[in-house]
Amino acid sequence: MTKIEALTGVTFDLYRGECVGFVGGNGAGKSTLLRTIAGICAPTEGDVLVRDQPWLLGVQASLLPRLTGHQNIVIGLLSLGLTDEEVARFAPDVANFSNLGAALDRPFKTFSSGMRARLKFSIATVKRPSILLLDEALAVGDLNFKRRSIRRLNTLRDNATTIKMVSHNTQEIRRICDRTIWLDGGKLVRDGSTNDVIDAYEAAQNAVSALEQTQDDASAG
Amino acid sequence: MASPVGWMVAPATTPFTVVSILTSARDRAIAIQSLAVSRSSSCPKTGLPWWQTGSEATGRRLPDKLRGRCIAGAQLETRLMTLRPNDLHRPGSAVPLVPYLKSMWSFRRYAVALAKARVESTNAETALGRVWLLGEPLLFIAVYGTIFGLILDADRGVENFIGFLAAGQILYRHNSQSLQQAASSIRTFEAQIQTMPVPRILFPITSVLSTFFNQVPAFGVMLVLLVATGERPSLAWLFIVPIIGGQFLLNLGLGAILARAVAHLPDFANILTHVFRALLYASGVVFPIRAFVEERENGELFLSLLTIFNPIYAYLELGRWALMDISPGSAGLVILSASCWSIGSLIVGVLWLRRVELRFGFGQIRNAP
Repeated sequence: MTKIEALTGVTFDLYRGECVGFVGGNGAGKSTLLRTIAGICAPTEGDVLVRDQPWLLGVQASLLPRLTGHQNIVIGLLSLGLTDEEVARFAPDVANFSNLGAALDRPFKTFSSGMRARLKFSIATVKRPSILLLDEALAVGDLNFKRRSIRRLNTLRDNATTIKMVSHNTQEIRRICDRTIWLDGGKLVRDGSTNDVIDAYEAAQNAVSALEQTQDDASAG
Repeated sequence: MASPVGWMVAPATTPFTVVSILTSARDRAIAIQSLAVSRSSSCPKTGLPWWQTGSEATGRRLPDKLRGRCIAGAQLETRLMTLRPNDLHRPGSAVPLVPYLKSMWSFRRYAVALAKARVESTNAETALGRVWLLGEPLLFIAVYGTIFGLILDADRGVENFIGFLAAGQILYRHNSQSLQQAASSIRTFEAQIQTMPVPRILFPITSVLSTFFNQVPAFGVMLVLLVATGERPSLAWLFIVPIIGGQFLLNLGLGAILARAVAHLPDFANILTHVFRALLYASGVVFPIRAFVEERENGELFLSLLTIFNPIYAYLELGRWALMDISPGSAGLVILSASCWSIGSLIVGVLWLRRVELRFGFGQIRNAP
């Protein structure tokens, strides 16, 4: 039996309309944290309390490979707990925003990873959720779609959606988030305004790279 | 070690969406102390009252300059507000029973859509697809009819042995297929379980539903075969609807129990194949088990035990009673056993699965913390 303490002693409050970025190395606990906030896994100690059910947009597939894009839009919207009328109302918007056109008539398994990500992003953001959790959701879309996604995220944020996003792209975080939390080894390293935290995070990353470079040079020389 | 505490403190007028994870004893102490402090305090740095430090008081996000300085104050201040446990809840499905059941109901359309999609995708795996839904029971009847009816001569005076086999096999299959699908549902729907905060009970339900959809053509075959072998349709045939309904409830309940059991111990799935092979005989699918048991010493006692402990047998007896007018040994006991098992297992199943609800988020719960 393997037990991993992914997160320990992480405490913070998030406010409506805030857009918070999470940064940290691989295995720092970012995704576990988002999944815990979404209510997919339970913390062994401590508690998460929310005013509304967060929507998690992860990289893993929850759409069905054999169904067409259009059928997957319906099933995706139902999986978010929408009613029949809402599904009928929002489905065309999703198709439009995803901009996948005729490809939506093909089975989902024929989609490229970028197209899959576009469809999932379009589904999760069509209705204004009050808390939106993004796990590397913008990593695979093309440039054009990325820009439209960022515009949509800004609109959501201005309409009081709380957004939490995990990303390895610090530029992306600087553009979208006003607050950033840096996690390392399951612990909260720093929590503050994006510029301060990202500056510190990048400085630390650079220092590590520089150190490794000198070690490599030393062993090579 | 600090005991797990969750304090959520939010203003009565709820300007904030707040997520709070308080685990340490220090946080708990701060929260307790803070509760005694006046709620009209202000941000220590800017002097603004707490409600202006949040995002909504100003209608927009605060300018970064102000925000950075106020955030500490605002965070502290949220802990000063009155406790409003009713406003805040745990995310996902870790909620009390009544909201849990409501949430389950609100996702019913999703479960049906997912079940239908599953039916389509499993039928697309073979070249003949749906034809197998009819072909499978027919082959079964051909094989077991030859062995038990012709070679072993085990019909014990059942007049319409082909009809007897058809009713038995198709009703039995409804139970056995559903239960085996439900048992592996946590693995089947792993991708959904790891990304979606819906009540986990939906996934065994979806498996049971999709098997039911697959069985509907077989129920038709059953009726056709009965008529073809000389049974006369009567009003009693209508009883097959509540009988299949009862089987369905039994599948939901036992399915939820098996789903959790297999998630705890995946090895259990290997035993299940043999359990269902044993049940095929112990439920009297392919031979009139009652006639065989009654021949024995203490036959009555064994028959009662069989009825009490094997609800699948009870449902087969009921089905053959309705469709073929073969009256069960003790009608009262059969009806009692079937209904108690259906309702009881459903209650136990929902409650038992719900207790480990969020541990499924880690995959197989054997490896979960």
